[in-house]
Amino acid sequence: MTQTRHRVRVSAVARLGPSIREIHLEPLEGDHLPAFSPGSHVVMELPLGEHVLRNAYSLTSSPFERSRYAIAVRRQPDSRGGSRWIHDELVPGRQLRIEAPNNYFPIRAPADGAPLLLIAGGIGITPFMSLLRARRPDSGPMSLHYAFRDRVDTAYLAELKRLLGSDLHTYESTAGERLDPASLLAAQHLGTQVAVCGPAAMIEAVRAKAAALGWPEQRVLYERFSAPAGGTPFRVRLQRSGRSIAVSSEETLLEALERAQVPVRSLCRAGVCGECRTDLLGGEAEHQDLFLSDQEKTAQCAVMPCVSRACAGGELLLDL
Amino acid sequence: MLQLNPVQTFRDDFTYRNSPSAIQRFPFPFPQDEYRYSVNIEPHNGGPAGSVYEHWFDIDEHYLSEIRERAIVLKQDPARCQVRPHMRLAAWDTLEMLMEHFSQDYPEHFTLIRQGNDWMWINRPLEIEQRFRFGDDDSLPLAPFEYITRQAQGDWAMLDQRDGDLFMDGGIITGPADWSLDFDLGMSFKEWHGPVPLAHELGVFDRALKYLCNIQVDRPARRLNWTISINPLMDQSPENYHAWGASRATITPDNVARKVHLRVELQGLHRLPRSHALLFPIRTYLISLQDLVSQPGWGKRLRRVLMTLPPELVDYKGLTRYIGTIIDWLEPWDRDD
Ligand code: FES
Repeated sequence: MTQTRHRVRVSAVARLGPSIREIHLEPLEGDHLPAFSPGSHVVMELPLGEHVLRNAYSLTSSPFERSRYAIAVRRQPDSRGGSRWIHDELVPGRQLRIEAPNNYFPIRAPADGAPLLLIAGGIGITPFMSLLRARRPDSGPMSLHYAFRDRVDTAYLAELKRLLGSDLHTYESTAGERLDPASLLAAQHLGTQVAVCGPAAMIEAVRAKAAALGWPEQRVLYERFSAPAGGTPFRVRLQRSGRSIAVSSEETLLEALERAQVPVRSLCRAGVCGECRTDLLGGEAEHQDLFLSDQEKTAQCAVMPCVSRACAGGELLLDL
Repeated sequence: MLQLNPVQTFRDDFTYRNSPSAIQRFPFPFPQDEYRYSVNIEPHNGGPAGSVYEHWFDIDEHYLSEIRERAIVLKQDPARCQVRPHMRLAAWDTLEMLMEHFSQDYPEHFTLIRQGNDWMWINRPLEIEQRFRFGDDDSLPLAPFEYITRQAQGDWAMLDQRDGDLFMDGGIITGPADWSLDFDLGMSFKEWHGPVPLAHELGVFDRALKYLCNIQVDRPARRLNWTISINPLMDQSPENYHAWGASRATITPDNVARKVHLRVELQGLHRLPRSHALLFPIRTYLISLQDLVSQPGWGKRLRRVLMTLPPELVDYKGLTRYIGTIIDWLEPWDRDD
């Protein structure tokens, strides 16, 4: 089954920094877009030349705003062209298609009134914006620790200062400031809920420290700021159709299958939802997903094509 | 156009009846001739026209009867509707979802007019015309969740999602098959499933929980659940046990066809967009054995399922005293010809 799609028009492109743009989208039909919860993202279809790239972006607008959505995009030098296209080609008036919002990073204040600790690295700030922009005086205690390279090219700093006041803590690495997850977590109240979004190393450091401090696993919510796209090229063979497909370094296995018109169901495109699970009949996969259990990964019995690849130099045999 | 029956009863004189078309569309829950436990959850994205799966929320000929039955139960026991304070946003999500879908799917009966946050809701069968402000509790005569679910068939629960688990944090439960909201309120997913035999060992709940926590907006799921009920008695709650517990001893070969009903729950799971809670409708369908065997193959299949039901489940579903009488009565439909 495919996701409901919505046609939208770009109503504004705002410059948040030399390499960050905020894009505003308004509905083409009707006067409102679907409601969503903080932490949600939309998959946007980007018409790049002859193929369509489907990229997921966190919604940064307030969930209470129904007449438009906002997303923020950083130009990625090594990207597959999506961010470059958005920065160079996307202008107000342009029409696009998006899928209805999904949420695999449902950030919320704990029901027991415990504090909410948000940790963002760089453009990993985006999933937090919808929560912070809807923050009300009774939203409960929360603080944001925001690490970035340099102040000039960082999204939403002034706005966050206004929204959070002294609950905002910033770390500018070019000025020698470092966010140290270990000391930050050690200083928290018992029962604190942590949500972290940023580079893999930052997430790992937070998770490892939380585990070492004996925090319950559920109190650490995390999202990689982008699904690992690309890597070394490899081939897949399809058992049922007998086909063989090359996956380039620029694309995911799921994208390669879609390009070859092999239908695979997908939803999150980030290795979380389980929708694209495909039986693996041969070869060794580098899994990279958050869905399969450790046993399943060791048994090499399934892959999640949206994130999994073949181990170096290998080939995968799929039940497709 | 959907025709609604005049009010019938689910108590005392039990005037509840299924029309031939209600019998035909009954969600018969057995895919094979044998009982098997599985996580039978599937996407709920429409079904054949006229079937109970056609729309997200099925409304049928029994609408007025079920609305009246709910009002009677709530009058006797207001604790059948409870919503914990942190579910306020989820309650408004629920109201919006029901109003949107009822008015889209049954426009002859319901209309929703929206101008910004100024809404007007028209429910023709119940002769309601209500103006209110979306999000403003004081603009409705009842709290939003109770307001809308009193106009909807079936029971409704709201499951809060936090810490990777689901919590039963609100609901209106006036027609349950042997469970109580008052008892389950605030419980986690595994806690409220505590009494279900076998499934824990099979790891069924771990898999189900993972799946449920990942259900997304606009992509609902559904499953069927079934049991057997004596008389078309909707309210089989522990609170009401005196009205149904003893009836199990009353089944004889002469009354089994009329009195014994297959009771099927169509359970939905819908992500609520603003609160990220899950809405869990439990829509109950009742069919007497004599109506059930009018459909080709159903009598035989029900008999085979009952014959292969594990003893723990016979006991859990409360069938011990009369399952033999049902199996015997169904025997003529289970002959090879
Ligand atoms: S699409 Fe969700 S896990 Fe692959």
